[in-house]
Amino acid sequence: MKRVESELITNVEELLEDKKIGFFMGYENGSLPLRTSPCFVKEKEDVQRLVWNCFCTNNLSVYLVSLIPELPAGTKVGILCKGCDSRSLVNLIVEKQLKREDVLIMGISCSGMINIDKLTGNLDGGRILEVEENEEEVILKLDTGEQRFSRKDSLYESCKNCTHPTPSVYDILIRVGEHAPKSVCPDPMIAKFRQKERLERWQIFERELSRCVRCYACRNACPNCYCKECFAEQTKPRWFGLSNELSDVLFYHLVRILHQAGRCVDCGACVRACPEKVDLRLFTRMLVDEVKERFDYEPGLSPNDSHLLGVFSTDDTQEFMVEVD
Amino acid sequence: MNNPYIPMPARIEKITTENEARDIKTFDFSFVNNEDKDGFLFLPGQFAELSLLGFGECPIGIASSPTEVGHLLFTVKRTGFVTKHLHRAEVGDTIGIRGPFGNSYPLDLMEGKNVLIVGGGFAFTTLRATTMYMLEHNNRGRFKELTIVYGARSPGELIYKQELWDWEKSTDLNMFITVDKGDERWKRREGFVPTVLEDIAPSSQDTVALVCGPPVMIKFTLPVLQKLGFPPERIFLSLEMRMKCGIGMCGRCNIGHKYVCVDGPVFSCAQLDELPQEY
Amino acid sequence: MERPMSKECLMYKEDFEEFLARLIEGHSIFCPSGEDISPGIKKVAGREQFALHRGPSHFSFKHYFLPQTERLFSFDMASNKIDASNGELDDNKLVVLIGLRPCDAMAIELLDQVFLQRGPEDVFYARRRRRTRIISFACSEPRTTCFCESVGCGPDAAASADMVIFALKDSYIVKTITQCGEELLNNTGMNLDGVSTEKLGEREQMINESRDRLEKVFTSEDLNGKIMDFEASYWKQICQKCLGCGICTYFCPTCHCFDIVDEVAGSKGRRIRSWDSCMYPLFTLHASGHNPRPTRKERMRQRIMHKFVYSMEQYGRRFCVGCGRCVIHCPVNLDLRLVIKEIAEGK
Repeated sequence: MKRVESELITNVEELLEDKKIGFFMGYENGSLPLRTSPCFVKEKEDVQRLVWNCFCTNNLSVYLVSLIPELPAGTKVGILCKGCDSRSLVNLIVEKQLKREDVLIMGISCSGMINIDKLTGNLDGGRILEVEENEEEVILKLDTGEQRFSRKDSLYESCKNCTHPTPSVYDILIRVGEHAPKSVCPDPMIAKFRQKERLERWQIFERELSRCVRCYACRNACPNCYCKECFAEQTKPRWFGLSNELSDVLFYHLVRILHQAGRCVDCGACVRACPEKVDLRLFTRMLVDEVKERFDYEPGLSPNDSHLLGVFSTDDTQEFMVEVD
Repeated sequence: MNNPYIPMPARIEKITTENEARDIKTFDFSFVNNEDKDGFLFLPGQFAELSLLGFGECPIGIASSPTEVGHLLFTVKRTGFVTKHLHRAEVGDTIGIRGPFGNSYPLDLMEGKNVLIVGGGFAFTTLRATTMYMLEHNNRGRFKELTIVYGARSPGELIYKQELWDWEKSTDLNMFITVDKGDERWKRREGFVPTVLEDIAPSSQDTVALVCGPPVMIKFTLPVLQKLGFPPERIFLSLEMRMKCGIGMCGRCNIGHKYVCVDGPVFSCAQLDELPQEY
Repeated sequence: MERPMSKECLMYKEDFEEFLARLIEGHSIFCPSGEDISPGIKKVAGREQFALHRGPSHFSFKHYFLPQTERLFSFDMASNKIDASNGELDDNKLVVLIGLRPCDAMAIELLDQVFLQRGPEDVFYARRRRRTRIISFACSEPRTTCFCESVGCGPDAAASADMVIFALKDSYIVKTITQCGEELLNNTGMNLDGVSTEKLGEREQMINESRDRLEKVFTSEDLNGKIMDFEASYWKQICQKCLGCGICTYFCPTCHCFDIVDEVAGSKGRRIRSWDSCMYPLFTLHASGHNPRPTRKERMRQRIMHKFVYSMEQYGRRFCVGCGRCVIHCPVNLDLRLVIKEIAEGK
């Protein structure tokens, strides 16, 4: 990791010095153990704050649409992108929210992000003093001793089944090593979910969403949710009620999720942002697999793609308009 | 214990369309229950929440004076969701009222002094209430000279027209009516309110100024008042904010540490100078 | 206000179990866990169901006093009839909340300022508050996100508690704070001893250790004086990472802003209030389209200044108890403690 970090820091230093970028977005150590936080670097002396480890979970593309207009015209923004982040970024280009020339993509081939909850579940009050990671393990050094976790078992679900750990579009690529997780499509967990009876699926849907507190973190963490005025906040008309009762919560999520078809890259940002750990991926990943299966399309792989919902082909499958049992 | 969110039923007795664009209407209400009528004690400058069951509530300044016994006026511009539906109401319909809320214009301070009222467009409602209050024959002697400068974009947009013409003829006050741009029938003054104010140049000596109007009018009126020698302690503005509860709980209408719904809506310029410019 | 009443006695494990059992007999008891009556609140029907959290629980008791969605009244549009009856509120039976941490108890004291003391009482809050007795548990193991001492609370703070319990290694010190607390204890008919010097020493050590474990990213001195400047340039910097979601406000035990809307089905409907957040753009949007807080900068400044500056002028209190929930849940780890530190250093 140290090699990757120093490569990253050297790159950013050079880019800032050569004025190839005026702004860089990466990660810095967070205020809590096992957390990082987005780090926005303008000055060379701040570059040393940048870090890279298995906790760099945020999808930084989420900031681009609002950030770029606020910067002095012509400022190129450098951004550290994991595979999924780069796809979000590319999708923003496809959706004409961003110009390719406004960003410098520093890709990083990602070996998956670690789900902190899987690590902190059994610490038994021990305080984390130090964290180490290698290709196989994450090692926590606690005041009560050492705990080792298998990397593979501790990944986020979205990372376990990542299809593109390495960005396909980048200006500079930092290689972390060739231990990227094996891509699986469709996602086995989702495939299992789909086999369930309709009633059971509905119950799972209900169970997950009944925990929602409507904080909108899933929306705000999602790079695809850049609407200047979200339907959830429109008042003329108001599309659905304000309560946290299931019907209102369902409406919000169904509409938001449906708007992700052909756009969601399964980065998992929504799941990670959710304070109630609602498994939104159950729904978004289903769309991802559906889109892949029906249209053989994966968003965010090329800025020259046409938007899935923006093109019509006469041989598009259409039977989904009416579900046949 | 009273539930402070329950509106008091009130019947619409009369509806007056005030302007040519027909998007400003004055509603005259009477409370359905006598105890509500007796309990509704207010002063000019206060507001109430008008409630339409099924649609919601909106905060509206009270346009009548407590001295106008038997009338309770609200002048409402069709702007948002609730006001749109309120405009569809008819005479005889019952809606709900919660209030009165907020402070009033500084009647104690105004007493024994000259009063200058500067109003623009639709935002003349609580200033009308104040004018009616001061003109009431028992009250008139409590205030010295009363000067009103009131304007609108066009003649058709002036509200309370009949009263304006009556006041113009009255010797109880000095009335200056202006429009930004007149039409072929318009025989009175033309020009923006701040400009007219500058022309008339009322004395700031022993005078309290009350100002309410669209933001752009206020922006240009305040420097004129300053030039005329009004200290910020004697200039009063009535502010608008998005509001819900009206009783200082729902938390959205604050400017710094002041809640517009309970500490306002009337603030002196001196008070506002102490608060963040966030309104 | 109640006359302060402070009395301490000792309970051994079996005494405490007996105490719980007797409380359960006479009252509705709730502890911060599960979701029986509202999220994060569990009915303790048997003494084995009582559970304590390390540090503050996932949800605060705000959910109980100010539910996320609350019906203000129902109505019928056809007849213009309003029905404000509310069975839950009419029930005056005592409710005992047990197991909340001192920070969450103090938060209730702050909510009292808003809903009981400032102007007219909020009937919903008032009814629940008046029938409720609070037994808090002093904090022996704060979390890394806790900062109660920095904001004038602390692991043994007694604000708004009727009784504070200190869980020692093999015993409990029960301290009654109010007359209600004392009545509650007396009504259980327990025959309890006073607290030995030795046990008092154990308690002191526990609280001291707890204090030592508390993070002191900023201190109460950092909050003194005129620390926050509305016009300062740092707000632009601070809000940069903020995603603009409502987590920090919804999980905050003192945030209390709400919206009021009508919901209709046919001619029948209800007027409800629902939590709202100053972090949302709609919060201050005028019908005219004007928004006094148009960007995240203004909205974040409002949230922080409301807690630490405006509330001082409104209520003489800071509206933060240091529970750290906003720190735990922020999706971008925008840590309020660091924000305050940065502001204090004038960055």
